[in-house]
Amino acid sequence: MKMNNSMLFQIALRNVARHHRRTAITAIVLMVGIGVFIMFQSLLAGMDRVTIDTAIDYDNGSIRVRSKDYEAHATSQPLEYGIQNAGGIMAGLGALLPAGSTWTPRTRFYAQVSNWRDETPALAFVIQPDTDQAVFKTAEEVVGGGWGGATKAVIGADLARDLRVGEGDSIVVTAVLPNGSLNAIELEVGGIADLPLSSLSQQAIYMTAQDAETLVGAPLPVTEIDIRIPPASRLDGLVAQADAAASRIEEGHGDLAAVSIGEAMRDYLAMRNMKSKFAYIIIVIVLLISSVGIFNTILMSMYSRIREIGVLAAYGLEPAQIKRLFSLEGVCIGVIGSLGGVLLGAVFVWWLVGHGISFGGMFGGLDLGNLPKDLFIRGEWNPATFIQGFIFGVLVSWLASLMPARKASSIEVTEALRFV
Amino acid sequence: MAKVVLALRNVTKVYGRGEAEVTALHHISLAFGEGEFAAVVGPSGSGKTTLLNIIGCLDSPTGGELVWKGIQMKSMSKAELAAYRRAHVSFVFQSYNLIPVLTVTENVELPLLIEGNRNKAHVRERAEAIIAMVGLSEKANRYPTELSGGQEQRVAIARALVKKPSIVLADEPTANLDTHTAHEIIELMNEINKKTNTTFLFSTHDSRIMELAHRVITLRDGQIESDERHES
Repeated sequence: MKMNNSMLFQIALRNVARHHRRTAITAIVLMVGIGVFIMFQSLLAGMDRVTIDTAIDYDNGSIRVRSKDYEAHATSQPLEYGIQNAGGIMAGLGALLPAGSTWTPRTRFYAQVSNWRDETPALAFVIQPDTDQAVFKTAEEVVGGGWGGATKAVIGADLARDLRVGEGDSIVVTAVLPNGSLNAIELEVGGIADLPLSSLSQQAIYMTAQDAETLVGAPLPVTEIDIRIPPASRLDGLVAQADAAASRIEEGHGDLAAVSIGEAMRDYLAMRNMKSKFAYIIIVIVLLISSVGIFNTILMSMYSRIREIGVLAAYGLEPAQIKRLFSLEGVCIGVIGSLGGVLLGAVFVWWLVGHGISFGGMFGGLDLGNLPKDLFIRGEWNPATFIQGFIFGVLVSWLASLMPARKASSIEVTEALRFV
Repeated sequence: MAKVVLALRNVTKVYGRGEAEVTALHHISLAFGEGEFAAVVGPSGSGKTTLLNIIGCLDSPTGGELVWKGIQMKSMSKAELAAYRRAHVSFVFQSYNLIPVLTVTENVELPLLIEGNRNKAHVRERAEAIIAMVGLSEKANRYPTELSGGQEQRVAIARALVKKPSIVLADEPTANLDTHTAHEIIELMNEINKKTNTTFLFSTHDSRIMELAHRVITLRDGQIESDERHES
């Protein structure tokens, strides 16, 4: 029979406590590393949240439904591939979507906008003002004028700046019709929307169905139905919910393509995984630094207790148990540092969730793609990150202690007892 | 002589190789009986510690053989030697070598725990009895740093005795103590030897202490110069 581990653990724990200064210095390095990792992951999750939320709030909705033909030619936003029987489809959506979901029809097409002197390409949206507000937050961003009046268009703030027009000014919208002819309509700038997405702020023009019909000379087809499903507390949950609802819509309507936010943001989400891996590189570097500290601590502990090793071995403690004794010390330091790291991380995340960080001024007027112009990130709580940080910390500490522990176990008893 | 506990037959120990070769023990043959209280004496470098290390299975002889209760120790692995030490041998060291993070009681319990004894109540009871035997019951919950040198050595003796070993090997157990305390420690060992019939083998330089031994083996240059028995 051999000694049970509880005594080894007791000796290890007491040695860690006895050399508290050494333990504290090593644990603090580990603690800061894990805390920064948790904070970084929280910020990344917050950035994901703000990016996806912005896309949902201003561009995609949670699910965008189009005809399969339109989806296949989506880059040219063709008006000829509208959704057949959009009204009937919308009437049946309630049965396919989670409770609390809202939806709105939109027609999206390329246009040219002119201030009578200069002309610039634009992306026109034909909206139903009431239902659009239930899905998108565009109306909330109108900083001058109103939303959705007849013969009045709402245009993006950057577009208004480019054209040097303001509320009440006259603009001309020109569109190429499905038959190839060119039509134009004069509209008043009824409102200016300061949209967080640069692409929309620079190009978007929102008009009513009535004005669009005047422009085209016929009722316009609905090219997309945009759906908002109720928000989920976790981003992954939201994406999964949208994916499931999109699948149900496609199953119910064979001629429709329902693109969930997860699919629409596929490239971004792939990049997000890369960012996440980058965060892991950070923790690996920090933990490598910590592991050098732990290695040193255990080595110092070993050299200061060589005679103790000799006594234990003389009394019959086997090399494997001596090795375990020292690796347990490493694990103890790891647990202390990792717990501290988790606590520090929790404080960081708590602050980030409560206060957030504004990155708005950092990028100037730079187009950040999917990211909003005035980037303001709040942290996100992610228990998995805390668990990962803790496990990484303990694992690295254990690994770092193995080599000195092996050295301790290989010392000859007689040499250890002679050691001064 | 009483029943033989261990015997050394023609044991030789050589350290180093070539020009650096040192022969620490030359063809030593000895036998120790149950309940013996023997001292190994001799000047520094005479081979006392090497002899104790070989007897304690901490080191293996280069030549000859060591026989423990009829079992030849020559061809045992490190793990087997450790198991043998766990079961039969205890040590008392010159520098006491108590584990500083354990209390007196925990230090004394250690050999029983290393042995694999899982009956906590029995372990505690046994340790307390031995601590009482060495007169340190009042210090049972103290840490080694809170004890005097003599008290530390008493704890070391209690630790050595707790598992009821076949032999206690003590390498210069009084070297770090003043004369009075040294005498007390050897008398304590002597008393325990009489009470428990445990075999004690200790090395010393101190002529006043060796007078208390029943048998004195004198080593010089790794060879036995004399092996004398006294009446107890």
